[in-house]
Amino acid sequence: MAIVALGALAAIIIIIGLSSSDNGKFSNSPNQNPTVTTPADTSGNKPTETTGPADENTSSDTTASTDTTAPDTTENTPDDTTSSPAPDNPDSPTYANGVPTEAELIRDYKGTILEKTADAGQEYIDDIIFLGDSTTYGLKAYKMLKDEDKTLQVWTPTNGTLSLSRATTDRIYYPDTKEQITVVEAVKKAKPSMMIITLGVNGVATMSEAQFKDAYTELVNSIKKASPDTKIILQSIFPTAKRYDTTKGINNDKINRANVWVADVAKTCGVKYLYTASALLGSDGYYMNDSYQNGDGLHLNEVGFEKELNYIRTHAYN
Amino acid sequence: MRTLKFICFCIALSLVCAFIIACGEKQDYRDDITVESVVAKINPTLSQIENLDRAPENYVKIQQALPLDSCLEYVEMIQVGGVGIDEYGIFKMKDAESVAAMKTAIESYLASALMTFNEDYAPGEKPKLEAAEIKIFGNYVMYAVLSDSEKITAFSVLENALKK
Repeated sequence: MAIVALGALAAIIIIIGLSSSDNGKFSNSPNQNPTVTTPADTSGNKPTETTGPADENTSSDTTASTDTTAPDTTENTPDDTTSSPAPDNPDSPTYANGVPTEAELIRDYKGTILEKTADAGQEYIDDIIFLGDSTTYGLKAYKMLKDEDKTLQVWTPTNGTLSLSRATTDRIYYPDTKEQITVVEAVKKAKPSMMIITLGVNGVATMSEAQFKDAYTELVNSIKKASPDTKIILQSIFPTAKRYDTTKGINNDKINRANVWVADVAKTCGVKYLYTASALLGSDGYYMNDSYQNGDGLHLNEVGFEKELNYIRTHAYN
Repeated sequence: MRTLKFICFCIALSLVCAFIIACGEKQDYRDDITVESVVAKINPTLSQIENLDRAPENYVKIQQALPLDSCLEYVEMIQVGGVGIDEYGIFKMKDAESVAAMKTAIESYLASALMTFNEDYAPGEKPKLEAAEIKIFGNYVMYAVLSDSEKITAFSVLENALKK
């Protein structure tokens, strides 16, 4: 009798032991029950994890979190130089407060940066294809170009923004034929004489220098290959105004740093760089002039776009 | 009598324990199924999603920072036009260690995507990203940013293909 009891007890102990070694936490065992992970909450830091049958999401394990690349969303003031991010590439030039002046960029990117010229006129603007994100889409929305809101000069996806990380992958709305095609396909069709590309404002939140430059370089090289005679100008990302909500990780420190990356890409790819950002700054030399933004602190209004277009035609690519 | 009761109790307990063990047995998954063959079954179930296209390697490796070096085969489908954010990826990894690394990298990618998500450009799509899931079946890792019903279908196609 005692043997039977001991046997049962041993079985129970073994079972308890087995159960406790497989208590639903993620393990590296190659043959495990499916692990279900829901990504992070809006703070972007702590994914929750449940393990077990595929359709059961009954428990959470916040200890199974992973590090994320959630960027610092702190906006620095013009006087705060202590936390200005240094360029990832030690060879990239550095500037006071992280904001280069036009003169400094002319010094460091001679032959790449477009310098001041005589006004090239409206015909110059009419000949440009503008490719970019929502900061470019405004040119159409505000009817700033020839044929106003029916302009054929603005290339963005139908959702109004093109992300840099997917610039060669996502499809833009090609207004000539109303198709959704890739940038390269559009370039092959249109063979534009000149393109101004403005990308990266959303990317600055999370992209590393390597990711940023790789995506931009791939785009520029694919356009060059598709249409070798197209004059390509990479335009600086516009600064944000003081009122801009930086919780999405976009701020002027990051924009200023990325604008140097854009200049680096232009130099490496043998295309031009347009430092329009300098014309949009307010008196503090750090934030966008508040009278140029449309209310959200990020996008230009009609006055801001006038300023942009005026800068473009007075810094012409001849 | 008391002894007999005790024996019966022990037997019953042993049976219950055996039952628990049987229920807790781990599912083994096959390791010889190609990702392509699974994707060929999943994509028709997502036919109503427009502009679903394969993500190029450069995007997956550099922009999403997913560890493809230890990946034997993968396919990632992303929505490349319109306002939708639908996407999913299946990665057949080399070993348990690389499975864990891929899972961590995907978690990081999804967390970053959620943090920078702007509803203005994809109205009504955020719940898909908030409810994005990663599942592991043996050496296969799958993530999905899809509607709930599409997600259930897509995951079950992979799981059924891999079940021994």
